Amino acid sequence: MTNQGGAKAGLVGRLMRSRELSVVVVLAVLCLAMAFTEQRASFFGSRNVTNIVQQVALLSLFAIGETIVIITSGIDLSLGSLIAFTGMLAAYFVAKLAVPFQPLPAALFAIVITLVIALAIGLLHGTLIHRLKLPPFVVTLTALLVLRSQSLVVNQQLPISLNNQPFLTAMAQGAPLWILLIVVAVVAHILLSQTRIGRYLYALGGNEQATRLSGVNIFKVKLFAYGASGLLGGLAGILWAGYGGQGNPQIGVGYELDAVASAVVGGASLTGGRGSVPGTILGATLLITILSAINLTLSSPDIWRGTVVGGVLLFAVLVTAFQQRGRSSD
Amino acid sequence: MALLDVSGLEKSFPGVKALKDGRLTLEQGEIHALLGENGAGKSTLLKVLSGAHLADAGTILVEGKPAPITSPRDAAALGIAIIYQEFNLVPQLSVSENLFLGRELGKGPLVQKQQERQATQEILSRLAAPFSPDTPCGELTVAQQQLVEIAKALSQNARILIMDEPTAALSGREVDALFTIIRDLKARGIAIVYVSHRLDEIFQLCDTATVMRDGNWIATKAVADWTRPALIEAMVGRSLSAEFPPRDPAQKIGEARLQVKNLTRGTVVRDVSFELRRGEILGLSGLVGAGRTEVARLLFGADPRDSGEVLLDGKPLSLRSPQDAVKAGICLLTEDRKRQGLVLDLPIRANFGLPNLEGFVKSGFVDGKKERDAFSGYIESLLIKTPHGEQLGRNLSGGNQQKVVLAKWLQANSEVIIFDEPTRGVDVGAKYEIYVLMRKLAEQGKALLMISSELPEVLGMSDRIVVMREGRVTGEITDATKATQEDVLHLAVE
Repeated sequence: MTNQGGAKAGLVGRLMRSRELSVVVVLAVLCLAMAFTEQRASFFGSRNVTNIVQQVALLSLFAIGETIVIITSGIDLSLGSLIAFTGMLAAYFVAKLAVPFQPLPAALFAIVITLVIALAIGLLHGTLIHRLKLPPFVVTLTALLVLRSQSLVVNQQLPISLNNQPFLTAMAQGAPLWILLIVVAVVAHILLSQTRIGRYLYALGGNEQATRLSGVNIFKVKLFAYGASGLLGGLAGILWAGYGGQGNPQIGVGYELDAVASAVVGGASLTGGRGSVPGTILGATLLITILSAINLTLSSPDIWRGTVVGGVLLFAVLVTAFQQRGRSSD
Repeated sequence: MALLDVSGLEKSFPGVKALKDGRLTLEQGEIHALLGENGAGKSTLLKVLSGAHLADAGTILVEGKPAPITSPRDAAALGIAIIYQEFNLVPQLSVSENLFLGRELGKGPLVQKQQERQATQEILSRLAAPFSPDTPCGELTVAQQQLVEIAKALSQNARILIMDEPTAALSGREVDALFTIIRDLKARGIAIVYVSHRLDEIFQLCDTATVMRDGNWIATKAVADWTRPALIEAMVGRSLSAEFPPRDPAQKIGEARLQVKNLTRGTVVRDVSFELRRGEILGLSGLVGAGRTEVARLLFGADPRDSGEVLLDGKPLSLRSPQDAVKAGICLLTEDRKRQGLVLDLPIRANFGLPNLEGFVKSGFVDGKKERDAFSGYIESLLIKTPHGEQLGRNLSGGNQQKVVLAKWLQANSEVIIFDEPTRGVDVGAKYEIYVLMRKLAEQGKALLMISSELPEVLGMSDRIVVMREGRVTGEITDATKATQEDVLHLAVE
């Protein structure tokens, strides 16, 4: 075994071990390949780059929440519907509060109320999962169905316009969005790598029994994980609404899987105990860049989207499984 | 004053009173053996002490003062640490992160990693551990993980260390190293509660021994005042005339049935040859890691061989998968019954039927009655203790689980039966029944290969013994009745 390990520890081996680095390399290869296509002008054009950056930021926000859940060996499949539902809620509250309040305070109130509801949904997931010992998959899949239906209920299937809300629209793009993402990413990264709760999240995902017997209150840890995912999903929902200028009940279909794919590409393990914020952001970047590339090169990119996201996810899971096998047989 | 004094401890679970009168008195710097069959209440007592279970009644005194234990934190605060048989480590976290899990160093939400690393390094040096605080626990060997558990206890300033079957998964040399560490802890005044089924270890290591049975305290005496038969009698509740059933003097060992020639797989099995005869129990001995289980897996078709031949009754076998082996009449009773031998959540009748369904099928449907009737026969003949065949596998004791696995393979017409650690996790009393069954099978003309780490078992049961070391056969003892433990050990170590 040691001999094989030695041979593998070459350049490829080291790349394989640092997941972040290998994602960057794949990303660079992709960009290089795009430079040789006819679409290079539009791919590297400022409009497309701005668009990629925008999408990456929006995806990263809730993918970070998903990562936190995946680290605990759970999964949050509700995010796509939660984004639509919270976007609808935000738009609904803005419209309701527009009469007694000025636009800015109305927007702020709407944001706070929506975030509280999103957090509560996440905490409810955590409670059901821990107290009733239900599989996270089942609980959040149920929420995916319920929340999609509820976002249609809010305004009888119709979108709610966010006209006259320059604040929400401004917040959802450009520098404010980036500052928001950087704050969330830095806080989440420090939380995961430097704090007690961070260590408990990894410990819970690695060995729940051992964590419990070490005197850690694992219910609180689960509440934290699903609460964070709900909260960040709610934030993403508000931002998607601001970006689109409306609360749209049809938005976000399949986004939860984009988040899972980003986390897994970034090194998170679906069996728990592994994952990082920088990895997930890089994973989101790679995913969005690939989607942008097929958008420009294929004639009907939409019908290929699922194949691409699924393929990337499968490949990432394979690489992770391969790495873990390599480790355990050392 | 005793360091720990537990009396009248009671604990019920739905349907069973697992602990009726738990007692334990510990002195400082004492190695105290806690013995009893499975279900005697040892684990329940220990889990109460470690805060994993809450007692229904009873008193716990630490240095004379009442010490209610309601959570793992309480136990840790009193200086009580427990090392379970299944380690409680997070494989993805590093050694130092595991050591301080649940009581991280540093004020506020931030963790002082550097401080933790240093503290871990100090303890690891004291234990002469050959790994760094930054190593993920998943990359350590079993013996090293045990060191981490011990280090964890030391870092909590444990005064009482409970060890549940600490040697179950260790090789001989690792056991020696562990004993050195345990004696060192004793010298520092730490009291150790030592749970083991291996009686040799008790006499080698412990000062005092307490025996429990059916949830009750039975006796506590200095180890010097116990004898092996007395211990077994106290544990089982009746006297066992012998640990092993006597050999039938008229027993006839016939011609060679299984011939293994130059079997090789990588470096774990190298050029292994032996033969197994009709009506014989062949003991395959050696240290853990000598390649014994690997040989069994090759014979069962679970791993592919690089080279060599296996012949049954003179015919070469291809053995590319366990199906090939089962068809040829070879079966394997694995050492890890719970994971590899039984589907725990299926009724034992269904477990029994698993490889035998073809025989119970009538026009495409499983004939349940036929299956049940066949299994009832085995419940009687193998003395399986169960109310009925629909009992779930997990609700049976280790010995009875072993019998279900045996029934399954007997129904499949197995002629060569490989036992890997046949009595691991089996009570002293039930062990004897398994041994009787093994003898009976041999008398019926089956050929038995027995892998065992317990030397008394190898010597007491085998007709012949083959010893392995580092993947090779190092010797054969043709008359096991005249062999001693030293003879076997001599071949097993360099």
